[in-house]
Amino acid sequence: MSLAIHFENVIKTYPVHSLISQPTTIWASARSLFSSPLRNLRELSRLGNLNASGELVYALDQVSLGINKGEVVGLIGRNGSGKTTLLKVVARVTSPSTGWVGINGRVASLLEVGTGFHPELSGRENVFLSGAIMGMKRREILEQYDNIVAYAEIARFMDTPVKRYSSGMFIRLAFAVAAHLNHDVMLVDEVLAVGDVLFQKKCLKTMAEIAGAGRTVLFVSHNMSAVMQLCDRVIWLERGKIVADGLPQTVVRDYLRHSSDFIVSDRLEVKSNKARCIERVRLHDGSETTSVFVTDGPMHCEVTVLLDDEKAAIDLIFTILDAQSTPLITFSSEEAKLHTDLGRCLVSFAFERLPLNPGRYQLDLAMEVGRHHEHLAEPVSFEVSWPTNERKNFDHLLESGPIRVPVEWHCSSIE
Amino acid sequence: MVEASEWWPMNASSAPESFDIVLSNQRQGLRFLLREMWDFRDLLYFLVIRDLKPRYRQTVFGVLWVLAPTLFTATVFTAVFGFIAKVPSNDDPYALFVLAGLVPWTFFSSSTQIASGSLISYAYLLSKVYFPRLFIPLAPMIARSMDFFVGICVVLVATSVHQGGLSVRALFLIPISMLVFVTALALGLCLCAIGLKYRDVSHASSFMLQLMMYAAPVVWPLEMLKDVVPESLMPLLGLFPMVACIAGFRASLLGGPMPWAMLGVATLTALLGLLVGLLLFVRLERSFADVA
Repeated sequence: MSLAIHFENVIKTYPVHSLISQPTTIWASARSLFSSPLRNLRELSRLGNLNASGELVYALDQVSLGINKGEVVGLIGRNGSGKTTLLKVVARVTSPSTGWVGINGRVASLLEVGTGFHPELSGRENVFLSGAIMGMKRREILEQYDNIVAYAEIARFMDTPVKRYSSGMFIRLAFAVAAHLNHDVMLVDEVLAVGDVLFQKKCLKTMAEIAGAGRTVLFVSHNMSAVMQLCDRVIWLERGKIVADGLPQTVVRDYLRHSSDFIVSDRLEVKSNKARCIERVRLHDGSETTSVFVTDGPMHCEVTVLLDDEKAAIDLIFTILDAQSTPLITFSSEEAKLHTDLGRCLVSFAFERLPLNPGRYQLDLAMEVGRHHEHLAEPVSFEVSWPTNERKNFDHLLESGPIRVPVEWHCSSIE
Repeated sequence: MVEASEWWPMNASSAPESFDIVLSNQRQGLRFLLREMWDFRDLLYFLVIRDLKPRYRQTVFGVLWVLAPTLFTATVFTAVFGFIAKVPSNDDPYALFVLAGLVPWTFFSSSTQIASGSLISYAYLLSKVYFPRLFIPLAPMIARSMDFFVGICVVLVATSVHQGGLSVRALFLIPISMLVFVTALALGLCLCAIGLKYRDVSHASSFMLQLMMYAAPVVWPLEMLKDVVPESLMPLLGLFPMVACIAGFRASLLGGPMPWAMLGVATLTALLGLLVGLLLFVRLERSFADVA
């Protein structure tokens, strides 16, 4: 295997703007009016200066890494962790402050949808302009033109100025150009986060095809299930440093466990002076607290309930929602007829085989005690992924619904 | 948790030589730059189109607007400087005289102006995608050359109507126009490379270019300087190449002695300026995305 991208001790710094004290008297502000050019000059000269002194932010901090040809690598991390900077360095948009980056092959950067589109130009002209900006030759665009138009499904409007397009048409055409780039290395930053759900799925499918075509892909996303579906390898960045680098399942799990403000699977509700409340919700996989589960695997949920004033029958109603907050499954503890004593008690339920396909879900919870209602301030989020040993099957996944049910199959030959 | 660097095996072939492109804080050479521009040559074409096509869309007069600024300015200048101030024009009609000066000057000032602001107007692309940055000032300047060409045609028609034909000297317009382009490119490159970071440039350049028009012999004939500047020092006026260009433009169209020495100085100055502009641009290029 040969390398497509290599980072050697790459540091990228940006100067921090120093705070300028505001003058307080009239005399001082008059003086600062004339002395400010000097200060502005000093401040401005630090901008973009690779050897700038003073206070610096490390967007990338000694990153060394090798990416082989044909690898599909996901970059995850919180906002400001350096993911986009890393992409921009490979895209040749900014230069590293120290260290070097080696690249083999042509690089296409899809850091946004519709790079280089001009609103006054027609769809057709924009296909050529945008394609050329992203590095396609005129001949290549001509070859792909019919495919691009077919993909965008707006053949009738190709001679209309793009500013008259609906936003959906614009995004479709813009992504269509990007989808037909024929580069060795593709850099993708959250391009999927636009358009309606249907279009996002189409994009995801195209991404999977690009990834499957043996090209090297660097993919920045906050969508963990997309990262797990698409990538062979995931790199987790934190404050410009690589925290973990390895198999998607492992790194994503560690990342989700680590970033507790991202997904809370073990949450203490803020207690008011109420006599009845849901104190805590914890998700675990039978042993460990986690927010990542496996399709057909176990998922347990424990709820700590406080009941202080009267002894009553309680009823817990759970709802599983998808990422768009559409309710999928609702079940209640009514059938179990739970009776509790005063004080704290632990109510739990478990799925032996979680009936959910991979994706991001939320668990909402309401409690009914007598005539009173309590519910969670915010649903608890969790992720579901394929079991590690199973092959990813995109088509099946993309066209399938979220819920899995056991089905009995029969097959017999007919005379 | 998986340890970062150990987990993925590093390849042995990770020396800088084994890569097509190596990115570091070292600047790329001029040769590399030229090769990149050749690889991206199709883009230059589309960027010029991008500049040309939308310009007169949704207008009533369309391409006629190319002529309007020059013709209107020439009319006003003829009225003010020709009839009222009675500025001499070497026995040619003042309208024709000022038009021959305005055509190269309008191209110089408008293309310098547009080139100096080009990086700022492309700032949103600078941080998204790589392509040879030199195309950004170059494309709108090439687009403006189309206007220049139309302007030259107009002034040729006007001259041939007045003189009842054209002399062979009009062919000198080709090299002189190229000199105007090089001068504008040299200044435009410097201004846009500095102006992206120091936005003072865009404030200063717009009125400086207006003032410079009066320093160049656009509305007055160069012959007026004969009493002030000694004959032997005249070629040095070529240090501001536009002086020589306008004098040459008029000589090719309307006759009179061609200022060869001045044009020579102007050519050297413009080429030196272009070199300075290119070096400055290449030097600052790497920081464009961080500054924009």
